[in-house]
Amino acid sequence: MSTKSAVAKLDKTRSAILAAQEALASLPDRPLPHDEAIARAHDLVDSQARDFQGAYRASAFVQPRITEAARNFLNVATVTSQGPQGAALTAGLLAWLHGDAIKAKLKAEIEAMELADALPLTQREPERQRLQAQIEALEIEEERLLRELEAAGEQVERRADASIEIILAPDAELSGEPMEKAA
Amino acid sequence: MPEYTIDQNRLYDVLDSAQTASSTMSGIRSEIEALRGEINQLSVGIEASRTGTLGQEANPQSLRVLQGRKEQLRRLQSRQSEGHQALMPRIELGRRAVEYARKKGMAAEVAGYVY
Repeated sequence: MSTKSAVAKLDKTRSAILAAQEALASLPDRPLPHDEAIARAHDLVDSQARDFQGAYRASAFVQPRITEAARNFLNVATVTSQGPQGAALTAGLLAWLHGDAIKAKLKAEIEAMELADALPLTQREPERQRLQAQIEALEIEEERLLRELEAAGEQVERRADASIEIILAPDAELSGEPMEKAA
Repeated sequence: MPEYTIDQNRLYDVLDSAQTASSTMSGIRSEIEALRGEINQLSVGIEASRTGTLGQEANPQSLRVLQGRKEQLRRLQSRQSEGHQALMPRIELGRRAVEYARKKGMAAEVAGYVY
């Protein structure tokens, strides 16, 4: 390979490394796809409705005597001033009473969002591994090109954040040839 | 990432390159410090001659020297800034090479390399 084309290839490789590093860094911030986000929202509403224990609370009304629990059944909305527990009770009542409407509304809102780079939770770890492997392969390619340029008498600086493992590795290990372990 | 071995020649290339970069940077820093000291002394001398003799003009020769030193300082600071950009990656690689070599059981080989 000529020096000129090695330099051009090095620039291209370094751009690809930067792009892959950015993709890796932004991985945790990528949104969930619509269906997964909707399922998560619906699960939350269902869970709050369950936690309200509507059936148990309704059972207060089948007691022969009117109990305190029965008398206060509809008072839950007024206990929000009693802190987080009161707020959770109100949210539970809302979810129990209007769960389907809330879920439909959430679904519509989520579906209206543009999620171009969405990624399911289950694909995040494989994607992280894929990007890391890609970065490593590109860094090996970068180091090979640098060594080729050095052999041709050219001096090109290495990146400060380049993999030190790769920079210090023997040629044979970077070219995939059988390794001769250091003593 | 697979386990790579360390090519000792490459290790010493990186360490020596970092050492050279580090020496260059510290040389520039020393020159800057020395110049700052000289400028400070010249300024004090000029100020003393002004205030000590009721408005006597400062020695033109001293003023010229002071201006020259200030110009020299500006050039050095510019060199320091350029050097920082060009040399810091080498120094950083040297630091990381020392750490990595220690982890790989080569502490003796990198003893004495400090950046």
